[in-house]
Amino acid sequence: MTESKTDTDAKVAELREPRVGVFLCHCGLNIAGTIDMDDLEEYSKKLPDVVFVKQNRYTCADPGQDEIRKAIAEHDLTRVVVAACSPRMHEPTFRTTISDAGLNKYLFTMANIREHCSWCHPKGEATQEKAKEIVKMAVAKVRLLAPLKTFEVPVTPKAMVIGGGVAGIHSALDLANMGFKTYLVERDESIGGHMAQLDKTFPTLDCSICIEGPKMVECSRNPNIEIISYADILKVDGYIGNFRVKILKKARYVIQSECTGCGECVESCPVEYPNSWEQNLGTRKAISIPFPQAVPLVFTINMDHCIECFRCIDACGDRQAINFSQEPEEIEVEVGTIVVATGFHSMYEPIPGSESQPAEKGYYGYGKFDNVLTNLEVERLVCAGGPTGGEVIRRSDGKHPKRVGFIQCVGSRDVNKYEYCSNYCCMATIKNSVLIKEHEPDTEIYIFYIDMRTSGKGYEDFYRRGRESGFTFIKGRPSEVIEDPVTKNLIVRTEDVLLGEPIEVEVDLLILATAGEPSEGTNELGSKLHITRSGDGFFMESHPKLKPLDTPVDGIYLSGACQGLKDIPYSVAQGSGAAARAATVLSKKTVEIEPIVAVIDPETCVNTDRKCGICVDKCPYGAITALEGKAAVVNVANCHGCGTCVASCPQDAITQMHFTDEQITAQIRAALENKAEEKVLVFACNWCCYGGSDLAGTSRFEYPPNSRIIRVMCSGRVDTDFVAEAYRLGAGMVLVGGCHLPTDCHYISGNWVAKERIERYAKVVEGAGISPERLRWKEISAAEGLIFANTMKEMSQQLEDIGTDKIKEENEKARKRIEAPLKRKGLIPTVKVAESDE
Amino acid sequence: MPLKLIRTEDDSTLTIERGLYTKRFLLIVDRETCRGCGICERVCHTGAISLHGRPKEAIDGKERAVRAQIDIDPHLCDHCGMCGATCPFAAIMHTLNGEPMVCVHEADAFPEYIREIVIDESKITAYIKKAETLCPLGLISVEDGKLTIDEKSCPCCRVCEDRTEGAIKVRKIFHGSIKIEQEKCPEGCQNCFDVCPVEALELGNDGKVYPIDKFCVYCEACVKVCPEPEALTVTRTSIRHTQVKSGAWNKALEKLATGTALEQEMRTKRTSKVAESMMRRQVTGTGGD
Repeated sequence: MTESKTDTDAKVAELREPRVGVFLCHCGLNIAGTIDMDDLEEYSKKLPDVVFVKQNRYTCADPGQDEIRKAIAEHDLTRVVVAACSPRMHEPTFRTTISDAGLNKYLFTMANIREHCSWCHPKGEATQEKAKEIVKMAVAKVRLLAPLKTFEVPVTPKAMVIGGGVAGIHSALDLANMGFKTYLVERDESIGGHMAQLDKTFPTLDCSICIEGPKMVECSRNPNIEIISYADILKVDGYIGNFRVKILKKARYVIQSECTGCGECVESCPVEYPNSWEQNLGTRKAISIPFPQAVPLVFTINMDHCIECFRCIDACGDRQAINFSQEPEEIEVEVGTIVVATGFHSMYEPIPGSESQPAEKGYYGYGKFDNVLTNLEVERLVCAGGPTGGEVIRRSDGKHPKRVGFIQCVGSRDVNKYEYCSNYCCMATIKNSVLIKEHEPDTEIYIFYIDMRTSGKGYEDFYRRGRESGFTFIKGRPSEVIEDPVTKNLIVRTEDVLLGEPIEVEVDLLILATAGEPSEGTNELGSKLHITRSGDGFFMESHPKLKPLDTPVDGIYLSGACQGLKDIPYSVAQGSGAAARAATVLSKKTVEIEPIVAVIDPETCVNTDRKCGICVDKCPYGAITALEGKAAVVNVANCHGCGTCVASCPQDAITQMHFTDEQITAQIRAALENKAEEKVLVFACNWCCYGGSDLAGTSRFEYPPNSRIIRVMCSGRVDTDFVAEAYRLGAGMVLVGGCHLPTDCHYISGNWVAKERIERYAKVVEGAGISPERLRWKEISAAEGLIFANTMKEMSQQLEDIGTDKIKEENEKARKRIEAPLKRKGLIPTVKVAESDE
Repeated sequence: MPLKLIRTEDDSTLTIERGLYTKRFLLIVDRETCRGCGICERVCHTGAISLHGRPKEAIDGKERAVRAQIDIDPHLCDHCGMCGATCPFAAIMHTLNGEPMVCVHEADAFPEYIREIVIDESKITAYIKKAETLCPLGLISVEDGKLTIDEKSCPCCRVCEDRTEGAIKVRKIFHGSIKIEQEKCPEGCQNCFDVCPVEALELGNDGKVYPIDKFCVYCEACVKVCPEPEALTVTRTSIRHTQVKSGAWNKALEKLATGTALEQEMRTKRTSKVAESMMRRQVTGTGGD
């Protein structure tokens, strides 16, 4: 019912002259503090087709949205522009608003005057000018927008959780208990993650494996959960509601269904190798499980160490669970959503399979001195099931240490390694001190810290307990640790900041609270999922406050430490949170897909009479088919809307809905109408470069206000005609910004096409007499706000160095060659053509 | 915790250490006893062992070839003990925390060589005086007036049997053949002769080297120093060892001896499990049924 109403409205709206309403948001003082809003209002009123302009304090708040709905009704608006924050923030909000008011939701554009203007430029004339032109560009685009209808695609009601640590386990359990079939994919032999390696948990000193173990078992028993362990993600295709994930199940050489977990094979196995799960403190057999509570309880043969004596086959006997001819298996599963819970890697923690690599020499003599350990190693030593049976002893002589030192922030809060705080280490240290003291009550504990951070519930009490049990806390980052060559004791040199004097403390055992870092393979997985990493290397959430569990890719959510380091309760909370986010998709039968797809005009496509097929080659998704003698056709279900084919089509026969050539050209013309030679025109891909430009604003990195940014979904959409048009209009500099090569592109390979295209065109431009630095290709990720700001500074500086006179001169010289393709395609407005024909 | 993967070397020993927190595995190679035959290199499943030729040395004013030397990569060594178990000269020793421990023997996953050396006490007395000269490796000595042989290091060359005219009876560990293609053999080269650990090669009047089959232990130390690839060939056709059902041994045998040796062993001591597993690895494809 409503749909048909919208449909009719849409048709009406399309037929009528555009009537644009512009809403200028103050965003408190975020915008209004820098930009003269009254002046902007006066300016906006004069823009073509603008019939209504209104200022709001907060447009996104209810009253602001009401104003929009009211204005649409009262002033018969057919197009809406909101000049406020980034479309990456509130575009969905306002689309819903205008849709509520009966307007097709695609008849809307945002003018980003906050992130792109008020937040990154100082108050002044040039900034005011930029704000005006951002609105002008938005109006230019909105006038040409067409109403579109969203597609609805069915949702596969299954989920995948990648990573079986405590966060992933909770995501999987929650999703399964909501009734969704869930695949829990784990890289290692067993689920459990870091929590399984811990002895006790802070602040309650619960036995870690005793509380996690039952959850692990629950995962294996839950009929809705399928654990796919010892497996790697190979490839992820598809989109929200319909992901296809290819998984490689590594060969265990043990048949999972036949293995009873009796362990008789282990007894018979002659070869031992270092157990990385035990931090290489102990060994395991070539056929074994990493730890007794492993889930699934299936043994694995490590072929790097197996001598193939087949004793295990004899030991296994009639069960016949061992199969030396097992091969890695590739499987493909279809899921509606993916929860990423890949956790973290603790510094110096051994990676399975790296036993034969040379030892890492670390901070404070780690790897060099016998009696320097990490916190995670101490967890294994202090654990009754560990390699020493729960005895914390020195490596050098096997004796119990009487004086134990802890150094905090090793690798964290360190400009030379990781600048972030690793979150859990203060508490982990206090916990390990308490445990050591419990085992050997006469042990002296020294803790060298910068700040003790105990912000969780009950943590401060635990810290006080440590202080009260007589731990010595010494504020200061130790400068050096030296080893007594005879006793193998360690001498820690530091400045006691509170006393203000240098001190030396001799300890028998030194324990480093090492930093957490992104887990091995984070970059590769990020590339496969097309989700971004922040500057610290962890996965980046969609919004740090409001979408902490979402990624820029719809249908993919984050859980636990892969998004940033956190302790167990927060990981569990996030695990459940991510499950809830995933369920919002899975619980619906269908999901809406943005109709920004490519459409081929069969009249213009030349594949009808000669073999072309360029679009087929360029499409990263293989969504286009071009049969001989027939016009190419886009398979809408597979089209992701990058627009790479659109820009590649030599006949301009392809149109990307909502990002048409006309709309983008209108933006270019609006941006360059005045003082074109002083401007830097930026084509920014939505996912990376535009995100970076937003982050530059959010982080308040200042750069010159002479840039004008045009958002495209993918850098692959940037047609050379756009660049030509920019120079024709006298642009100073042009930047095409995309995702990092090789694999960051949200659309698999749009950035490759863009880079190749722009670099090829750069030669043409240079040949025409334009200075080479005036056209630039740059890869900027959504986390690289600073790089975006610096690039803008650099390009403005270059522009200044070349000088506007020279730019004008170059443009004039190059005019003929630059304009030629545009002229051929009839893309130059007739008035100008008449002029240049003269 | 970083593993201590350490290689230390002095004049007479090479030591490979794998140190964990409470476990210390050592592999000790006695450089003197090691004859550079390369059997361990063949057997090692991780490729940790490599064999290196060494420059010639002047001995008594004459350039002499020097036997090859093994090197072990501590990062690859698994301390499984197969190299020690197969060394015919017992040059490799394994320890765990200072105690001798051969992993593959602990789990009964690998056989030992059978050395059958019988001394005929009635005939031996005549040779007691010159006991030291009986063995080319110096393994025979006299203790309390009694002749003793260091059996574990004996490659069973039968030189002593010859010298005592049968007072000591020895059965070889390895059976096989050694061949020198005289026409391919380079003029004046006697590398093989220089390095032979036993006295299985002799220098002819024509300056060429001739093998003595009955003394040869088929260790291949000579092959390792031969400059011509096809001039000197050694093949092992069977190896005497204790009975063990072990795929690892079959694999070792595959590398050490001819296909027929494996075939024979498979035929004689086939037990269903091993055979089945061997079949899976398709070894029977080369060895025959």
